[in-house]
Amino acid sequence: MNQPPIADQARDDTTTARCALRVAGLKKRFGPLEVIKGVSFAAQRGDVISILGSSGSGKSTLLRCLNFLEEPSEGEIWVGDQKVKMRSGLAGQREVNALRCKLGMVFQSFNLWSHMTVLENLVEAPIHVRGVSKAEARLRGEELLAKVGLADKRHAYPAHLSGGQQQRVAIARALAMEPEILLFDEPTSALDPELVGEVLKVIRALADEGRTMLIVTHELGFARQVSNRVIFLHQGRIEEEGEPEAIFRDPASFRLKRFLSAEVGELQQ
Amino acid sequence: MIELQGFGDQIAVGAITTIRVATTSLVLGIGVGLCGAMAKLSRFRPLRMLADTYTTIIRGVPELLIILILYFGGTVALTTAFGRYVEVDAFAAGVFALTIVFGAYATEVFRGAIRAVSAGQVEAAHALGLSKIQAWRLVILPQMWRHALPGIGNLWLTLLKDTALISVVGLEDLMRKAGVAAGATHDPLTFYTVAAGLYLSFTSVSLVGLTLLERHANRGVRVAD
Repeated sequence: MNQPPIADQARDDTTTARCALRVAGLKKRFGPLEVIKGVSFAAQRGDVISILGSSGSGKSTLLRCLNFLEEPSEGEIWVGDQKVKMRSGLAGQREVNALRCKLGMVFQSFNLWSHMTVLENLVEAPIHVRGVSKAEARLRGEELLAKVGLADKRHAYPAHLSGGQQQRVAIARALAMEPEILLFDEPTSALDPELVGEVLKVIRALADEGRTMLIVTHELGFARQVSNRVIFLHQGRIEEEGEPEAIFRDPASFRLKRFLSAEVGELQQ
Repeated sequence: MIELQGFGDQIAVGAITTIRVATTSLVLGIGVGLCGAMAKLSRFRPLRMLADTYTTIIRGVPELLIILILYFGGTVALTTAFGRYVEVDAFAAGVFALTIVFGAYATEVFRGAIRAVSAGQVEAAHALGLSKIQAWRLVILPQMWRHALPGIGNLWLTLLKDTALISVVGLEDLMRKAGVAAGATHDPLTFYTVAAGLYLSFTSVSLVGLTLLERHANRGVRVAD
């Protein structure tokens, strides 16, 4: 390990101790198309950051780059004080798997494994990736199911649950890996309107616990209430960022103004 | 009761051989089919071309010819290799030929079944830190079975009946034993009917087994009751 100079180290101690995630100059290209055009931001421990943007702004791609579901074309990612090394081959695969253990991901379409019961969905990754014993994984899984209010569904198959219930199981599944940061990719977009509330309630409870979270969402009211910072993406760049109250009350950029009025207009229809 | 004129034991031995050839080829053929499907879905082009060549040739030539070519070709190859006459064991040759044939068709069935597993299911596995191998073992293969079973069931029935072809290279299977008995007793109708009845009973039992397997593979999937 390279020791940085003393002065730097002292400064780093104060910054990295709180820094959960740092992204610098992230770019993602699909062939000739550049979807993320150099995004930089940092999340402190306990931050809840909402990422807003119209469709095609690159917000989901940005989230997927963080845990390498899409491999970033350029840029740097730090989780805590560790830089993610972009290596190829088996070493790279191990590095990526280690990174993914630290970042829990919740998908828009839940993606619960359909051939496993709810509890099996929760225990597989802890057993096979973290090497937790079966008994311990089951115990922890049942605790998490109780936490999301689904203890009685542990032996049900995902297809027999409502969308809201499936998403709560998916959140519990991500929590079972005890990640440092949670990534939510439009967690309520696939849900019927009456099921959105129960999922947002669970996410809000996690925010209240002080968990570090990045949430790509269209729920502006929720973003405003729950997050302490908002990032607005436009065409692969951060157009505006700041505290939610300021952003929503007084957006600086024309594009954010237009985005907010369009979204509100849609709600009123 | 049908009068088997002392050939009952022989028929029973033949039936057992038939089942042994079929089940051995099934197990090996499923392995070949899985490898073939993975090769066809591989990012490595030479591997894809190899698998394509394999399935194109095997599926394009009559099974009987494949059996004859492998049996006589195998004899020639082994004789050349060892420098003396080597006779190929009929059971081994039969299993080998049927495995190759079954594997080619199973490759296509598995390829389609693997592609039918939704990308989100695999992404979830990767997002949780499971390695590629673990994702295959825990998610892709178990889910793939549901899509593969109807096709593999069909292939199994074909395989079970194709074992009769192996009798041409001298395997003492149900077909050959029935033929010998028919010739010796001058009562072909009785023995061929008995053989047909036995094949039918094997396939019927298989169908029950397949239904149970499909029910297990469909767990967690909502189907109209």
